[in-house]
Amino acid sequence: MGHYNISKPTIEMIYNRYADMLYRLAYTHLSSQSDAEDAVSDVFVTYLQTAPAFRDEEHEKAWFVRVLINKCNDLHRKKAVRAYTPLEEVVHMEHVDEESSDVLHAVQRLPEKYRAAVLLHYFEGFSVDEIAKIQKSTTAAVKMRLMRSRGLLKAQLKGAEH
Amino acid sequence: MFSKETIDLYHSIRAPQSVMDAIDRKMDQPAATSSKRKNILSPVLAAAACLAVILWAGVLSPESDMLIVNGNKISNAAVAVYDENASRSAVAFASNNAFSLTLSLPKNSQALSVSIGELLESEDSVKSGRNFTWLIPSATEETTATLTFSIDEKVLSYTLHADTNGVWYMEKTSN
Repeated sequence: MGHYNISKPTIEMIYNRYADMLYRLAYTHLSSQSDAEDAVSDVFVTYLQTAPAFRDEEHEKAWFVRVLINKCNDLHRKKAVRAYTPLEEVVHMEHVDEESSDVLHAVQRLPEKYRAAVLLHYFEGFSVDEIAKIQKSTTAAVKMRLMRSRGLLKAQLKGAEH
Repeated sequence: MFSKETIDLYHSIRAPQSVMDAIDRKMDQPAATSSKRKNILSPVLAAAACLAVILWAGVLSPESDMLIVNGNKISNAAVAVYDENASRSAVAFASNNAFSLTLSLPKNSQALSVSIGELLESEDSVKSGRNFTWLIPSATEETTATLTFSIDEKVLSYTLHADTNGVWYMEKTSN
């Protein structure tokens, strides 16, 4: 596989394990299909280039998420204008419930650190401790972000109703 | 906090095939570039290689205290190193925290020691200097290990450590 030391079956296995989760996170951060694709493919290229050693699957999963979030932040900084892709174009559901769609849009509008904490905790099932490690933060700070996020989301959704 | 419908909607977002295609392209890029250029550049490269050998033998003397890990020269700047066995089988490595590195040392290096793990010298060491495998049985991102050897009455130290992303680095820590 090119000049890398990781075999094609290994990268396919790792891809099948993480690609959907990383893509969901990337799209929700960037609101752009093409930028999400770039971010996710860059994560895998970083994996190939560095071939990091992992203690276990939890460590491996956290590494992929942390690198993805860094890539998304880099893209945010570098690209002032991005090709926006509506949520309806990336979800694979026959009927998109309007209320659920409004909630996801509200999550997309949260500040970056709040959004990452909400997605990882409520949507991807990461514990507060795991998120603290990924965000290089403390458990208390993550709990605070989650609490403030809930308040912001309630305010956003309440505002949308009126 | 979030309804099942909202979480299901979020989870219905899946990576399109174009992501895997982009990875495949990026993985194949360097190999494709070098094979295209190979035929055109072969005579030039051959001439350059001859010149390099002449310069190396006659003008420039090789550094006597060179440590090479997985083909990379280790200097005072940290260089990313990897476990070749782990990259061949990520699953096997996931259940085993052992870490190993392939090292090449100058032929006249002496008094080798490592702070953690063990050094195994390989049989092909005579021609190409001294080749070793450094085995660290239980490596974690908190592990910091040192390798020391002497050469021409000079003691050289190198440090191996990982960053929080699990990427391993090695650097020369002695002058």
